[in-house]
This record gives sequence, C-alpha cells and structure tokens, in this order.
Amino acid sequence: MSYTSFGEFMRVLRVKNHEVMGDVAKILEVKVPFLSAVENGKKNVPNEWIDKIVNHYELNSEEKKKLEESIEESKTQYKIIMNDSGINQRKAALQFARSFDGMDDETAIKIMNLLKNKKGSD
Amino acid sequence: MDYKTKPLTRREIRALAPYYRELFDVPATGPFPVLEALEKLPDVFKGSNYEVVEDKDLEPKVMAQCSPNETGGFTIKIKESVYQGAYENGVGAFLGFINHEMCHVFLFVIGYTPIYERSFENNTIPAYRSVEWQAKALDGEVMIPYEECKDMSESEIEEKYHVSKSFAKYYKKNLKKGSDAYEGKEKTHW
Repeated sequence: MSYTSFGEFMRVLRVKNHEVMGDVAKILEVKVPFLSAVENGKKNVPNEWIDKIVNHYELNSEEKKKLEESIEESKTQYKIIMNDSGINQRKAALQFARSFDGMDDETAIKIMNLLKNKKGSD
Repeated sequence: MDYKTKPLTRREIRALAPYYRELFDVPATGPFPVLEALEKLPDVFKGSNYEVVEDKDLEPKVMAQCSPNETGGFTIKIKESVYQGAYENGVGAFLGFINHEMCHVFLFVIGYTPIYERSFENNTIPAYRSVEWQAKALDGEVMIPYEECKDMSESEIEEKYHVSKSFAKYYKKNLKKGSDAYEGKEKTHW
C-alpha cells in the first residue's frame, strides 16, 4: 500500500512546514493511526478536514483546489443515491460497482477513455 | 527474524552513516531528527512509505516492522504507542526503533539484501553478516555521530542525541570496535 494523492499532498505540506504526522493529527483532532489509514487509502477523508487544513496552512484558492482534487482521487467509497431508481437501474449500478473490484489499472483506463470518447461524440 | 547478508565491518558501517544523513538532508553532526526524516522516506527511497498502526495490528514484541510493498519499495509499520512515545516525549528507544527500520531500507537498497538460507551452525548468524546487526549498528552510527561523541560519557550521549540509556551504553561499548575486523557472534536485540 502506498500513499494516496491526499496522503502525498499532506506529506509534502508537512515537509514544507517542518511538521510530522503527529502534528497534523493534533490539528485534525484525530489519533495518528486513523490519519495514517486515511493517507494510505484505507479510509475516506472526512469532509470536515478540508476547512481545518485550509485554515491551518493558509492555503490559497489554487492550493485548496489541489487539496480537493487529491481528496477526490483518494476516495475509497462512493455513495450512490438510488431512491428514485427502478429495480433494473439498481441492478445495473451494482453490477458496475462489483466489476470494478477485479479490474486492473490498464483496463480501467481503456474503459474510461472509451466512455470519454463516447461522451465527446454525443 | 534475522537473515544472513553480505559482510560489513563496523568501520564500513560507520563510513555509511554520513551518507545516510545526507540523503535526509541532515548534517553529519548533531542529533538525527528521526520523525522528520521519516516524512522524507518516499523522496529518498522511491515507492517506500510508512504507516502508524494500532498496537494490536503488530505482534506484541514487534515495535515496528519493515517489509517490501507492491510498488517495489518498502512499507514501515509503526505501533501507535511507539510513534506517540517518540513524538510526544522523544523517547530515545522509540526513535531508535523507527530509525532501525529505516536503516533496513537503506541497507537493502545499497545491496545488503537478505540471503534466504537459514541453515547456520548452531542456528546463529555472525554479527557482521546479520541483517539485524547491521541495521542496529548503522542505527547507532547515524543517531550518534562518531567523531563528535567519542569522548562523551554515556549520559552526555543519551541527553544530546535522544537515545536510550541502554543504547548509549551499547554504543560506548562498541566505540573501540571501529576496526576493519568482522565482528563475531552477538545478540541482535537492544
């Protein structure tokens, strides 16, 4: 397991500010193993961390955007709201979700490109 | 678990310490800032990282553990109590445990890789060929720069370099061993 984009973003921020993971855990008011699990992609980044990080490090809008992008790239779970979906739509969503588990990076990129190209031609 | 590797004398290990410090942008003298260096692990050793895990996630006697990861680097897992002790109180032994694992990565990367054979006479590995001894010796040489401390007392070493009393004692005992001779059998625990 290596650092997620968020983990790498935070690590670089720490090195720049001569801080260590223990300092960041204090800022975020969490235990170090929890922060470490988030940085290593085992847990999702809690939403309330964004403001705390932005305020503590006084990030500008560009840096904040990078932080948000890194969080998006690091998500381990997505919530799909299916309140208004029919039974077949729900089945299709679950089928897609399940098929991600066994997919390698190369295949995922090819599928993403196909979907992107299709969107472009619509 | 210990493994056999290529031989290294203490003098050779002592000579490696300044390079190790340089890799982490740390001057050749003064205390070694272990936790700050730990943050730079992925910059120094590509694909390597560290994790602080709950104490129950590692065996009771294991303080920290280094193992190869799927990206071709190494992951160092550190018990929460060890990291917290090093961070909050600067506990020398805990700082030493963490740096010991970083030394394993360095030694592996420069070619002191484990030889996977475990049939030794009396099940022992001579210190100079032991992966654990080499990491322990390098840990000491990195944490306590030889030229600066050779005339210091154990308590001075302990205070200045933030190392444990037992490690300062171990280091003083081995100061005179900076020869080209290969060191013999030795217990590999702190």
